[in-house]
Amino acid sequence: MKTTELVKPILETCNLTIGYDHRKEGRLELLSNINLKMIPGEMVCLIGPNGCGKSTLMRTMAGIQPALSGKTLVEGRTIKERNFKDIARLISMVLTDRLTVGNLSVFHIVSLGRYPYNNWFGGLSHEDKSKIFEALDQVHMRHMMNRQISELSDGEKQRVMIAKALAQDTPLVLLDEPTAHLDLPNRVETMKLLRMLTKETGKAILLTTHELDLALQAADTIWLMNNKSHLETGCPEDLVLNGKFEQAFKTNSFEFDLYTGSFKLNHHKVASICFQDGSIEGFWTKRALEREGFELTDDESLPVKLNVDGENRIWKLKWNGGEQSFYDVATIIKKLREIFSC
Amino acid sequence: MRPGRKVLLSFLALFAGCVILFAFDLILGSVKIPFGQILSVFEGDSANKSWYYILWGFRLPKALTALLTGAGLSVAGLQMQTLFRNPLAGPYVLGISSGASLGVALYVLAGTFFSFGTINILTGMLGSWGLILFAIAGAGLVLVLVFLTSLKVNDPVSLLIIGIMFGSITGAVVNVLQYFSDPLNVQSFLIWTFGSLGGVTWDKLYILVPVVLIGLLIAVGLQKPMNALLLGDNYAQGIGVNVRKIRLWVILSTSLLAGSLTAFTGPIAFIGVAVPHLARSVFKTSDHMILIPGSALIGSCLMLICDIVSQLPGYQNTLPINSVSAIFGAPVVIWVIIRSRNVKASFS
Repeated sequence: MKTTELVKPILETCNLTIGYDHRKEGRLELLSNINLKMIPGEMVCLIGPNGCGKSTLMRTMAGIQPALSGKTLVEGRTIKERNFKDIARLISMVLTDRLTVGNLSVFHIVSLGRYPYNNWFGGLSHEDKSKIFEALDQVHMRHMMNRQISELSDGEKQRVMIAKALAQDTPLVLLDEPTAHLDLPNRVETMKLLRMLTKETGKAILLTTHELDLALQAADTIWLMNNKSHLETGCPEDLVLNGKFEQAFKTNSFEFDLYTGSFKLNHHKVASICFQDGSIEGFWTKRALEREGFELTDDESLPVKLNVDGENRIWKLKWNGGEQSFYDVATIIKKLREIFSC
Repeated sequence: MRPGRKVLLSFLALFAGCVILFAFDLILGSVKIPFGQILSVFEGDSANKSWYYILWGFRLPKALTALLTGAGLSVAGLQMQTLFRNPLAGPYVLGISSGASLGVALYVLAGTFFSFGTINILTGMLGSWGLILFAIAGAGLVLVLVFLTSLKVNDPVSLLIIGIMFGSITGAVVNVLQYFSDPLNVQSFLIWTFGSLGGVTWDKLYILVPVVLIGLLIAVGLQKPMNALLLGDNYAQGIGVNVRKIRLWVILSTSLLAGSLTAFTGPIAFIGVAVPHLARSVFKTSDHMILIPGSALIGSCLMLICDIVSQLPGYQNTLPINSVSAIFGAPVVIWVIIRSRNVKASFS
């Protein structure tokens, strides 16, 4: 142990190689020689395109799937030398597996998170109950705790499983797409909750997600995978600035916007328009016009110019044939289509 | 959270039902014994020696067998439905009954092939035990095969299909044996497949009772991991369940229950598949802590009812228990399932 390391990592992988070993087709290595580290209180988002091996990495780290080589250390000891109960007290998980049971109450499912702690009977101690209620409160599901799981929507089921993981009360939480099926408020809420948990309770949380902008906002560290079996790690902003982010996701049909931190559809370009504005109305006008395939620049020499009066919501369009005022975006788009006859 | 008032009341009602049905099973039959006389008959006070013989030698072991069969097959079926997450699974999905019937077929029909050989001597020596030993051997053979494959195949769906395939193979072998056999022997084999509670005498109960109790005890011991399995294998492992180990224990428990019961009573169908569904709609939960005793009680009650009906009170004949359970039980199950729409919720 080096003395420079102030915080002991909770999770560490040593030359871990993940993938699948088929008897006939040979082995499929998704990622090899991974050396990763997570420290208590760290929120890590694992992102990457579909099929790059995010879930496989997560399952391998949790010991559900065997590693092809290398090892995972949790609190300094390998997963292999720990028994199932031991691991369950260190790592809790939210998976993408579909729940097939319907006849259990929300409370009962969350109480299964206490499985590694309670006795054979499965009876709940005072501490167990308070952890369960706390977890239900954290995902705002307490008022539904007596409902049967089959009566819930997908998003609510997802929150129940997050509550189960929280009730398990482990220093390390792995979540595979916890925000899938959730509506926007719950997505943001969940990310906020997870981030708050890392800071307040010192849990280390690893989650996979396809919500890039949320991940950029919430993560301390990003693990970025691409389809070419490559893994980059770092502070989200660094990965944006050094272009790794764009590299991982870039295709012909969309590009990464460095200004907003989100991906933009790459539209077929129709024409260029001179456009100058910084107001809210201007921002949304820009989006609409870009969707239509117009490139917006501040080049005054262009034949078509558009100005926005943000306060009065009046758009003024000047072109070769004349000048006209508009009061909503839809009519501007119509007029522009007419002008460029497309 | 654990047993609410309603659940406790349901248990009390079922238990009372069991006791009452047990008593009726003793009273009713081709010879009616007045209820008031039962205790005095057992104490040996009654002047009527034949009543004592009927009760002690026949009806009491039969009623006990009904209890064991109902409880054992229902719990075995429940375990298979949870393990395979399949509402159609029952105690026989692993091919246990087919294995037992292969053993019995060999024993009963072999006379055709080895009429001069050692088997006949064996038959003479073993008496009624021979049939049971062959049934146990047949069920055991299939079980060992299933057990060995389950060590290799780490996936319940494949295991389910393999179990069904084992069943098909043994079933086919039995068909071939029947085809070449003496019709008289075929008939006695067919009678075994109808199922019978009456053939289990006291000396057989001495074996059947402990085996079934051990199977039930293992099932009760598995209630907590079985609940975890409801979340799916990965989630179960994530909360600390050794899924492979639990699967082997579940197979062992089911084998003890279904294997021993099939050997002694014949393949009694229906109960094992239907009762877990009834229990789920009575108790409105998938919690095994409640479903295991619940299924056992409901199964016992149903088996006792079937036994009472099959004796056709007032007549000299009895109906095969297998037919009675299906003819009278299936409509009840259909009605419950239509009314509660519970199956879809449990296996969505």
